[in-house]
Amino acid sequence: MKSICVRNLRKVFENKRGECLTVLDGINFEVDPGEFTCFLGPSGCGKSILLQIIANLVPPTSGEIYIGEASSEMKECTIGFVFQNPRLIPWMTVEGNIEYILKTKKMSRLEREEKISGVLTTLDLYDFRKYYPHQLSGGMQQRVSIARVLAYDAGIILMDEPFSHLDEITARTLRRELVDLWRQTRKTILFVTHDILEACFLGSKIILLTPKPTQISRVMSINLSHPREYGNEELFSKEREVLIAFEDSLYQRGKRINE
Amino acid sequence: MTPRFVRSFSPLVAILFVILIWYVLALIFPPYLFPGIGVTVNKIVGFYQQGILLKNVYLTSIRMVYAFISALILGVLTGILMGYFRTIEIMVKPLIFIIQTIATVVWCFFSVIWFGLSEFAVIFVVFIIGYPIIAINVWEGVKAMDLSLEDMAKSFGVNGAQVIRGITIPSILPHLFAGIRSSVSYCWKILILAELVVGNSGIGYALYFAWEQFRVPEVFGWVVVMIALMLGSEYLLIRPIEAYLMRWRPKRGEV
Repeated sequence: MKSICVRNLRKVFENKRGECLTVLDGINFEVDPGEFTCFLGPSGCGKSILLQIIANLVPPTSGEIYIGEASSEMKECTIGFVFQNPRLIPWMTVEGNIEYILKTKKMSRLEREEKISGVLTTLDLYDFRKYYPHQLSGGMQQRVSIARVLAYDAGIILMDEPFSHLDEITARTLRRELVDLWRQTRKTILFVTHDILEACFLGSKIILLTPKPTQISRVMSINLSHPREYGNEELFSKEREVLIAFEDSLYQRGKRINE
Repeated sequence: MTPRFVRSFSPLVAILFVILIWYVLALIFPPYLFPGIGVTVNKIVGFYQQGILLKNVYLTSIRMVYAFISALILGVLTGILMGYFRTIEIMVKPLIFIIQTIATVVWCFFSVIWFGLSEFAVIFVVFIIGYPIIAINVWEGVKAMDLSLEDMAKSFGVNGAQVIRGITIPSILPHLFAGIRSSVSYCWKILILAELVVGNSGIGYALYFAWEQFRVPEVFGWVVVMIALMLGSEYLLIRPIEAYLMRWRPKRGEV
């Protein structure tokens, strides 16, 4: 059984003058349960839109998306989103932010509190549970938003360049933590990025996207064992390999324009 | 940084300053033009002994409460609907602007024509002045909202009512309170005028009655009572509520 199955997905935007802009032009892919998939593509190639369509925030123009199996338990089908900006509610404390989205679930007050203190402990945020977002650093805020998605207990986690606004040192720490969390929980993760090294460091699979109109140019698996280390020779050679493929996929658009 | 005690006493400092000017002016001008502090306070004590102080304060305040609460509820509703639905915005916006351009005295006349010299006529005039201010502020608040938070909530399956309670209302609060403050101070002033033109009781009417008889110290007395009411509503009611609801906000110098 696949965790996510996307078939012939197309997204076309039409502006007021009736001009059409094709953003996604026939996307097909499958993701196994527990897989960490990175979508790698140049800026403006519609990576974010792809996640938003999977999260059902934006309707597709055509195509099908199967998530989990219709018959499987609902928990498998729930999707959680980690955005580029943490999107924390500024008037709620750290625990208030998590509680707010947990209220959508049928949980008793006690269960909610247990869940919240559980994830906050996992992410080293327990001492900050009464803080408001503006009292935390950017990295901590993003950590809260990861705690939120964990507490939500989604089977599938979508992440849209969550570390791109952070400095590299903080980003590295959070990437390591994310890999640890993923290895512990084996959630299905779809991670969008334009950072090749980041994709190689995190992913078990990389899906390379072309510039607009976006198609999938290549699917590469990363067979490096975890934990991966920055500065590791194997990681670098993998990065070089992906880089060459990435350059190729940029060129693929050129070919299509010339045709 | 202004020291904390200066900030918390700043209204008192302002009041002391005004009293000082009053004192000096009363020394210069004769009492029938500019009565002194002592005379005025005596008059207010006199109002109290006659039983008209509390009665008029009560009448004026209760009118204010009715008029302002209805302006608040309808204003918030109108503002939210205007912010969320383009059609309503297009239809209601010109109406609100027209309401605002009509002079208050004209509303007083209309009110008497439609509702007679009644309690409701007074309340209506105050309402019609307070309502557009609230509506416009709330509408701007909805327009200025951070939509990414709503998207976040939707992605986690938070339902509409919860989104309004948890995100929409708190994010328009700063705009709402800006509206409430200017609306309340307008409403008090308009209420005095409305009581004077339309009503037959309340502080505005008492003030008018004293003026007509040229009893200047009494006029001063009622003005002081009026000012006390306005400041009281601002500093003892609105500001504390606002400070409580916005306690999450970063304070200057805290981050």
